[in-house]
Amino acid sequence: MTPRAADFPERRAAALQTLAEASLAERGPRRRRTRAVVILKDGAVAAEAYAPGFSAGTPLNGWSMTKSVMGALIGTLVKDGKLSLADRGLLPEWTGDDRSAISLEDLLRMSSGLNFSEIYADTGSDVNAMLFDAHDAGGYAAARPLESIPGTVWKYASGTTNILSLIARRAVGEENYPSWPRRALFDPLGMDSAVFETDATGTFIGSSFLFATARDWARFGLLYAEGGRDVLPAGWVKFSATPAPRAPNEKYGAHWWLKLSKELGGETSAAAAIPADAFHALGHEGQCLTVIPSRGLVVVRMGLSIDIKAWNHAEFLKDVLEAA
Amino acid sequence: MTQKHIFFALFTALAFRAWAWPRLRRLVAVGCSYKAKALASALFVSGLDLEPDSAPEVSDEAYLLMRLFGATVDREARSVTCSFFGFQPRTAAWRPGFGAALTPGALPLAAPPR
Repeated sequence: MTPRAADFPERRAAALQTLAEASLAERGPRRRRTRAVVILKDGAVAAEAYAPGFSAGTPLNGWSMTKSVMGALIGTLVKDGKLSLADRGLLPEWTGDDRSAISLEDLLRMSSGLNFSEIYADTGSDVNAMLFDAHDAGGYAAARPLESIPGTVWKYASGTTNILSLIARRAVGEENYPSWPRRALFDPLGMDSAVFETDATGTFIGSSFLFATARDWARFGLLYAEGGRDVLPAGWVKFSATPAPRAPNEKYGAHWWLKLSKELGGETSAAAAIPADAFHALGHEGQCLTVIPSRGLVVVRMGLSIDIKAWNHAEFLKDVLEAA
Repeated sequence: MTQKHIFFALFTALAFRAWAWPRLRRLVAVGCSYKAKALASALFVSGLDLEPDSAPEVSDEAYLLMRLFGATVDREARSVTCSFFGFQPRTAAWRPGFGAALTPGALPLAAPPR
């Protein structure tokens, strides 16, 4: 990121700063608890704001925003020729059963066909068992049975991303794996604050646990706004933002959301004002990273919105688009 | 109370225990793990200044019941242990470069990055 471009009008920057600061205030009975907002315009910080107790140096968990980072990391392995989208027979434990038909693209497009319940409110769900009651997150997810033919049904599942993390571990090799995210992605992007947490076996929990400052999350978004530079393979950003064939309402690409959920203000007039080329990394409790290449915008919002409806991201984006 | 009634009561109690026990164990295990992990990451990765028993991350709104899970913070070892009155204790520990991770059983943690 660079200092703000000289040709970006001061009054627009001031308007964005006002929006960023206003996002910290509570509004209505649902607690928003916004903790950090960073808005990039044309690669430069146009506005940022932090709640008391938080700063530009506070690493915050992206929760499921981490999935988009794991998608990018898989992209680096595709670029290096270690994996390809058409690869099947991805895990030795799937040898000899129908799961060997699952392709890398199926996993990136959340269309593995594996049975997996993604309900945080249910302590018996697979996502809770995997994250909070299992040693080996990827192994837990990989052991789930098929419930549909791979590639034929879209189903968002955190287990899918941890399977990708396990596949990456085997592709990279044990010796190189611990430092791999830093070498492949964080260092080239200058994401110095990034801390990628692992399960007890040392596999990065690609579904849920990457901590980084809001500025570093913005740096990750900027990589996509700028087409992947020389970090991602040619065409990877377009692939990521192309609707998964089985995703309802074209709402999901490849480890990026293409539409906001109703809880975040999707399917409203505010959401309709968001340009069609926008895509989002979204996480538990209102973590949001939006990339809008056509407007040169990257918007990061981190918070603790336990009631997800507390944060209307579509409305915030509409205001940002009007101000920028 | 007849012998038949006693058998019925015993059967019902055993059936309830068989049904409820795994669910209760999972509820407590997941709750303790969530709280230990969330607190360890907030304290030792984010560096937040928070009170373990009243941090909104583990005590507000949907997390109200987590107040029942006691948390013990070992700031020297950078770990957090949570349990339900000593039942189903779960520990999350911080390691350089890798943040916090749950440490179930005796499985060793990953080696630090080189």
